[in-house]
Amino acid sequence: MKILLCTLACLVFSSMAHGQRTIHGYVQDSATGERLINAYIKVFGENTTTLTNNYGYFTIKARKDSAVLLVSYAGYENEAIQITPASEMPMTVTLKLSLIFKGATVTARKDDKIVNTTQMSSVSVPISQIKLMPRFFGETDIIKAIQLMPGIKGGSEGTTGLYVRGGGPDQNLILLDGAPVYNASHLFGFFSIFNTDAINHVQLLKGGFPARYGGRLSSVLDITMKEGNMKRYKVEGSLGALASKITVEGPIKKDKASFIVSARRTYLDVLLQPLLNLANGNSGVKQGYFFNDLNAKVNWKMTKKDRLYLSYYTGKDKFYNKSEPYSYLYDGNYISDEREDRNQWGNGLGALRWNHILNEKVFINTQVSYTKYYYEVYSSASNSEKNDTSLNERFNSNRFISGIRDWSVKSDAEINKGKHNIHAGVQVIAHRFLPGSTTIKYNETGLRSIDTTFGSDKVNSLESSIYAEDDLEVNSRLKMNYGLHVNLYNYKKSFFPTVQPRLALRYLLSKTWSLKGSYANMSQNIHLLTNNTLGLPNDLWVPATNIVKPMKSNQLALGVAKSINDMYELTFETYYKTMSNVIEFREGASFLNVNNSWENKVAAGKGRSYGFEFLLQKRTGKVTGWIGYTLSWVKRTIPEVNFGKEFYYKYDSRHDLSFVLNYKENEKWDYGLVWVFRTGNAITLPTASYPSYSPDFLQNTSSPVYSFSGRNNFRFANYHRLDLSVTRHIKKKWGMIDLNLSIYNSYSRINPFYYKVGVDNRGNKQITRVGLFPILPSVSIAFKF
Amino acid sequence: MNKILLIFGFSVLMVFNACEKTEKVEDFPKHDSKLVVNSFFRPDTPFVFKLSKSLSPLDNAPFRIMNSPSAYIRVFEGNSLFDSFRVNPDGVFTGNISRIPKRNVNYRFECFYPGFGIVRGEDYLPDSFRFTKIKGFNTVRNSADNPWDSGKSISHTSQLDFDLDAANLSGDYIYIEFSLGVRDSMFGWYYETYILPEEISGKYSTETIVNKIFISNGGQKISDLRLRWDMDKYYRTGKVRNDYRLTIYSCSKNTYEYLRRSALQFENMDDPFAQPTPVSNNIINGFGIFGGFNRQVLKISF
Repeated sequence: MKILLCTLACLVFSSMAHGQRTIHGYVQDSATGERLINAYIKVFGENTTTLTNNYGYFTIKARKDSAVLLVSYAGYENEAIQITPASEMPMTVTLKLSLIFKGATVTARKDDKIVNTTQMSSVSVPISQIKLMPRFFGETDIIKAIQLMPGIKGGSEGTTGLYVRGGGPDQNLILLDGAPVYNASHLFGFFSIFNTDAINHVQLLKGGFPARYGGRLSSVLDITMKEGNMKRYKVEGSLGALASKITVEGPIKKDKASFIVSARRTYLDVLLQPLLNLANGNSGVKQGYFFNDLNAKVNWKMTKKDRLYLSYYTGKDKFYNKSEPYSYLYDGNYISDEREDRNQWGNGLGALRWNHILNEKVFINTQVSYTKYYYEVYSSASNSEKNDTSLNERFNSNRFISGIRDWSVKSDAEINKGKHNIHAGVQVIAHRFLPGSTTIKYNETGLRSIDTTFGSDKVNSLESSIYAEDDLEVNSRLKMNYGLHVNLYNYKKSFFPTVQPRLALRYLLSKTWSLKGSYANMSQNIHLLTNNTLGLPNDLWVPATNIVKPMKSNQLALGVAKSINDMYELTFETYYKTMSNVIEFREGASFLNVNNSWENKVAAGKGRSYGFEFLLQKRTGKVTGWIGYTLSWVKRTIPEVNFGKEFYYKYDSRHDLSFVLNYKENEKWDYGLVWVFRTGNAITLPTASYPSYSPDFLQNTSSPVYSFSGRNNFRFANYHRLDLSVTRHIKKKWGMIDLNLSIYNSYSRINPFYYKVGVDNRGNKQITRVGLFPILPSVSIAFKF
Repeated sequence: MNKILLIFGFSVLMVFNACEKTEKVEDFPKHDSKLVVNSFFRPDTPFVFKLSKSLSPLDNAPFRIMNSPSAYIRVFEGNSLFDSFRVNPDGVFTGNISRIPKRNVNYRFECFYPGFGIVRGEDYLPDSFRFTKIKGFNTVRNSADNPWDSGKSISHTSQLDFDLDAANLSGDYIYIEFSLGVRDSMFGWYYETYILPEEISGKYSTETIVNKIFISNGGQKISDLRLRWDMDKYYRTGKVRNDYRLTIYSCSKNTYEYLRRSALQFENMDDPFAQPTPVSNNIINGFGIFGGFNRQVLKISF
């Protein structure tokens, strides 16, 4: 704490010597009033640059009272704003959609942001570009687009997992309007919960974390929902092969308050029900699966200096199978049976945020948020037997439920002092975990009833953190971001304090070349017990305890960034990351074994990953896209696993290459192409078998022992696929229709989803590779007015 | 509009078409067979070795007994030759009857088999332990005649308390095989049952695998142990006779790990969610187990 206070004091006092003009305000879309996040602002003729924050707010110093601001943002026309001594602050800069691409929304930007910012290891794909990429089952997906960036892997075929620089799926802080999301997937991970129509901005950090972020080891995925059109009502929606969605937004009071509501639902269950009825002989069985989402947001400009946001999300997945009561006569008894099974999971969150501009130098954001994730499996059966003299009824049910719920309060301040841009804040999170509770009920006429619950104990923990960081322009070439994140985690009577230093440096080699380096120390106080295969919802979130301690990591990254003709961005980065207290299931541990508590199923150890990443991205012109390549190694050492020897992590993949291309022929036609190649994931398979031996009889037994040469000793076959898409934009009097045809896995490569050891039709043992998606065309229709 | 509906309908059909496709893996590495040497030794019998050959995990062939008359095994006690023998007519390599392993002594072997390199292994025979006191009780909570036949439903609680000779147990590896001996008079079935970790108390470290309780992994000294379990059983007609049998092994680390891991591997054979369990192998240049153990059987009738 002392270190942190000293740092804060140094930051404030060292900045007081400067006395320049402070320009501050918001950058927004001229047509909708939507605030633009990460817009790039530069004082003309000076080397001073900044970016708008998550609320579209910026503050920047100019040497003189009069200055010219250059403002740019992806997909918008650049603006030059004349600032005079009489200019009113906070100012509002409005940007217009680029005339060339208006309606088709292709990104267009000319700036040197990549070279000038201290932030490295950052990935951002504009939503407009994501919407042009080939679709999966007719759905655009933010996380699937992010997976195509170097350093990020998606786990299994078609799923929305995130494995960033060797980290696990639990090591990503996924924030939706500042509130954490614990399970970001639908349908076993094949779709993310994020509805692109409701999203404004997406950014993923995989290293060089500023001090304002904490709580996870490997990445921060910061997703900001749209605020709602301040100028006019707007409706957009789409019909896909699997799901449909609709979004409505508009002003509650023009230029004062707005709203947005977006909903999405699948309809496989509705479409399949008639077929199932036929198959079941109209027996009254209702079964199916669906998922749905609802995003809503209201924002209100209370005063020129105050703004309030209320964000809400709810979504769930549900499998169900319910039979109507089925009665029949047997041996003189009327017998009636009824059965219900369901499996459902979902997230819910709400966030209330208040922005306040204290003065020209200080911007404050205060937030209260709530988030929850739950998972439930329920089955019940009832049966009755009735005759003239007696009635015998039986009912039994089994319900498993797990989940996590957080309440969080945080307050952040951004302070601009000359060459210093300081962020400082505090946050308190109250977690409540339900690692797994099973309730069994049994009633039978004339017998003692059973109603018992195992593992119902809810576990509470508290996280408090305080941070300060300074983005300091040391001289015209050197810029640095340094800070501290202090976290105190409390579980039962144990306290786990951590002091996490962060540092990022940028050195300008020339106007178009910069050298960057960063160091980040992170800690994480929650763990995810996952089966590491599908994004199954039966993953359990559990707190760090005295036995399974908080995870920690150190990451060092070095890189260069170059801007080529203001059209291409080129980055090379190399990193080395170490992790401690990462958990793995013990050998032989299984989800199905309910006899052991979760702490006994896992073992903790160390991990390390290192690699090299290359990204060449083109954001302007008719052709846009990127080429990304990663060369990486990911390893784990767990004393209780693999006899304590280091082994490759399941998602270790040596080479990962992605090629993304969008081509806009004209205002009517767009084309998209994605090609991905990566080395196969690691898998554990037996290498030999031999007879086991019994000490009782000193005899070989009939059951074999399988020998493994090590954990993850084999590789899946290499993964590659080509996706294609074409989009036709049709202008109508009332609005616009977009028709999209996408082909996923165009050359129908059987990419391995998992491997299976079994026997063939002739009884021969064999190993088979199971792929999920051969060539998969899909059509979707979008409209907006 | 009709075209759009047609395309949309086609797309929905393609969704239903998306299903798993399977391909046989043809490039699975070829297996290089090694000699398998299995031998547990205890303080009441001479050394017994069973030899066979490892197979590819995809091989359908049965395991072959390796019984070449030109093969021989030498066993050393410390650095001195303790025994030397060849295969007997039963296809087993059995030591001389007068050469019985001793407790607290290290043994190693060398196996010379045509076509294989020299296969070696080493282990020790740990000291045995003694129960100084055993207490137990059995409480019948409910006993009801079954209305459908002349069988009986019985619920009962049982508890066993052991005091162990702790002085001898330091550093030992112990596991218990537990079975409930309910001999059904109609079919003669012998039931096995489970003891869950929460039903055991005492100072020990435990990993429960079905009816085997791996109770000490060498890290802790056990001085007392309590096993308590509840049982609901339905017995058919005839005489009901219950007993509990506990087979208690004090063994070397190699034996303990081999038995624990192979039991776990077998238990998880059909569980797709289970993590793989490698079985420890202390045979150099081959596969198998060379391990020492002591065995005691407790039979408690009631």
